[in-house]
Amino acid sequence: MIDQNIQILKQIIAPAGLKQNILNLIEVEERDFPKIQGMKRLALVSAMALFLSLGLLGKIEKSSAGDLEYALISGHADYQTIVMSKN
Amino acid sequence: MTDEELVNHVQNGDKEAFSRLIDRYQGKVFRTVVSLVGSHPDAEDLTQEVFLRAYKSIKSFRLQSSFSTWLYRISANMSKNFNIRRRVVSFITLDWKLGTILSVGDENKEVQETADSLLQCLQKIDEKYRQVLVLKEIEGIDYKEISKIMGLEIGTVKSRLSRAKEKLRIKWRDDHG
Repeated sequence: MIDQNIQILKQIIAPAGLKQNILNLIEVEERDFPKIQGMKRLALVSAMALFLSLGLLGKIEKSSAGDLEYALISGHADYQTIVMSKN
Repeated sequence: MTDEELVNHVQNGDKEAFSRLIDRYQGKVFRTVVSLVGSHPDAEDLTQEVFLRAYKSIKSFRLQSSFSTWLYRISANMSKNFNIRRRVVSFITLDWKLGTILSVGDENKEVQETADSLLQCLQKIDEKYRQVLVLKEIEGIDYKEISKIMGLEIGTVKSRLSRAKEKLRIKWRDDHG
């Protein structure tokens, strides 16, 4: 009985329009990705400018640039938290 | 054109080739995902995500396995992650409902009801059993490929399938007398 019923599941077909939705998603992804990257760079430059104006930039190790970018973009930390942690 | 040739085209920037891969696999991926997650609307979203993930990762795909094996692995992993997330959400609400799963009319209502019931039973067995059952019995993938998709020994796949069918049988009997 179960084996017969399993055969029924083989009849499931993909909903209409699925392929177009996938292609649309890909298009959005490709179109917006460079924009997001650009925004990240802009945010990083702004952050660096802020640190520089506060006289804090020299206290941050070069190797922390990746952490800084991640924290700023992901919203996991604000500027002050990063500066405090690096000090 | 073979899958491998299409993959090579996509890796060289030919988006149309990916469109042809979607044509080939959208039904299989959707069927796999809906059987693993149970809900039609969720499966539709997840299928889209599977293909998007595949597209974004295809440049690093080195054809060490077949494209279909790779795609099924993505489908299985994403379905598994989805179910984990849903279990967390289910602490808040448990009332998700199955949608229409078959593209059939009223004359096939009985078939549709059977499929709905079976999907509900499938959701009640452990993920590890459900995956192997769906890949083997619904998608007809052979043991060797399933072992690659799931990262298991072939013997383990076979024994897991046997237990999976037994567990499904028990659930079905419990629900339908």
